[in-house]
Amino acid sequence: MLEIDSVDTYYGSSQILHGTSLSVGEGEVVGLLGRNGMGKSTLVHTVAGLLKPRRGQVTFRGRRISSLAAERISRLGMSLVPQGHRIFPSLTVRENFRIASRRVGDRDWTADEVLEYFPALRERWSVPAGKLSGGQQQMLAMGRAMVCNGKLMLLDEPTEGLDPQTVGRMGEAIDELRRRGTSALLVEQKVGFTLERVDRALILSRGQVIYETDRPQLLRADTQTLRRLIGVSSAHEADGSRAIADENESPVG
Amino acid sequence: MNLPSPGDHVKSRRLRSAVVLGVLLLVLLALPFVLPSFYLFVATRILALGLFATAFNIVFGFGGMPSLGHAAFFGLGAYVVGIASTRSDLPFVVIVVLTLVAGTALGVVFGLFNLRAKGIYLLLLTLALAQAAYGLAFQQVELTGGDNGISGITREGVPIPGSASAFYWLALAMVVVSLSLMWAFMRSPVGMAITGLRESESRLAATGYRVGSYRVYAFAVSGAFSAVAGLLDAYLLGSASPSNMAFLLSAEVMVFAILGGAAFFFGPFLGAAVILSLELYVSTLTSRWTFVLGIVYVLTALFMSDGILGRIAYLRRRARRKTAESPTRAAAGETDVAVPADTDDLVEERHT
Repeated sequence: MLEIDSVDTYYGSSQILHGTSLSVGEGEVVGLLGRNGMGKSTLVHTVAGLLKPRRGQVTFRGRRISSLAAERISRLGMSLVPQGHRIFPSLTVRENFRIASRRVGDRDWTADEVLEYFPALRERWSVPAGKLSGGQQQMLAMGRAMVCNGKLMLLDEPTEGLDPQTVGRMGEAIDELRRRGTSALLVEQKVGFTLERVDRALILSRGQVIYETDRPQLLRADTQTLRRLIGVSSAHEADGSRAIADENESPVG
Repeated sequence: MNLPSPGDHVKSRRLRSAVVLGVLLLVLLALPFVLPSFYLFVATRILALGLFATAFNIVFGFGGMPSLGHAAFFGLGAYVVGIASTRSDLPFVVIVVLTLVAGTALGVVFGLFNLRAKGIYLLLLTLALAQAAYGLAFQQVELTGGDNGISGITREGVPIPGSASAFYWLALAMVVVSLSLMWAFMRSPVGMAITGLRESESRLAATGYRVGSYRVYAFAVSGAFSAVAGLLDAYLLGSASPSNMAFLLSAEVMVFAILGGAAFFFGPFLGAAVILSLELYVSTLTSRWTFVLGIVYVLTALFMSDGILGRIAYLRRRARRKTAESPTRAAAGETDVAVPADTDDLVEERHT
């Protein structure tokens, strides 16, 4: 589905990704963990076409996309949930859904199905999105990406700023995406949340993948590795603490 | 895609808006029966310039693209009428269609030239394009009459020609239809994407929208209706001249939008009505009325950057907050949670 091969990405003269390589298979959910400022969001933006890599290649569904514009990549079937609940604030919740919705098949998400996961949005259906709480905006960002019905979903810290109950609903939504066969790259700070629901887990450090496992449940219990690579002594600790804001300036303004 | 329908409070708000607009329309329809001819002329001019300001705001307030070249569209509409009505016997409907086509075509040109320009560069580029159009109108003496323009535009071809009242009603009908079409356009997916342009081009691109195309659409639709406004103005004044394309008009229309409230669909129209009425009133008091208007502009920029409708929306928000915070309501456990705090009838805010 997605192949990232030896990608170098820069912000101006600062190199953020150093020959990063990873892949996401058909119907696979891959978790990407790492401390702040390690290049996770940069990687997501590089894949989505919002940043252009200087070297390396990104291939999506058999097509090289490194030089394609973001809108073309999106139309090839990639949906993005950007970090920091970025929605269209002056459009209502309904309009935010409408602008994103792209339904083609029977198994695709409808707005009604999405609202079952995020009922708070139904109550605020006709309200400008900018007037929602931060958590509701994050739900909306997730909902928008769901009705976009891409083949691959890029989730950049979708649980950021959410209360535990909503985190649970977000998890259920991701699980359902997986059941429906949507591939996903889940970038997260919440280690337990991530390892619980991914097929494979990667850890990114200084723009390189330094650890990979296809048995994420084992990593969940491996406190030594977690401490060494992510700086947390347990998955539970990582989920309970709020990470420092990502140092990278996000291009999805 | 099927989306859940809006809630009951939205439906009732829409109903209230429809009633208010209906009453307003009845009042406007009745104006020729009560206004002397001069004031009816001013009212017709307000309709034309209000339409122009609303069309301008598709690009400015909704699309977030400041343009200092919109007089080019307005002037183009005026010249289409001038040339078509003085040199041919084309029916009125054909002239309207020609105006729409010409305005759309010029809008596409503006859009293509401004695919990537933003902020001050967009202002300069639109200004440069409008100045080029102005220069062309000025120099093509045989076609446009040069500095003198085209005079003697009559309303013989328009439906129910003759009286000022009839033309006022025709202008009102055209303005109502144009505003309805623009309203519907801004609520269509294309219109929403144009609003998305202002909020974040990268976010819009990541949703699969070709940003450049939507810039062109915004200029094309805005150009078409701006040209219709120019058409009405030319029929009203009976002439078309380079002043219809001048920089001053482009700046004025921006002031209309800002004063009325660029964040609101009806804000620019209100701004045009207020400024033209003020012009009329102040000019009867002093010959230095432009100075007084200048003061009004400065005060607006300093203290009312959200415009009149923005200020009204703010005051309503504050009043609601005070009501919500009153001890009796709090004791009764009443809240406004289910109903959005900022939903007004005619002052539906699209952005802050």
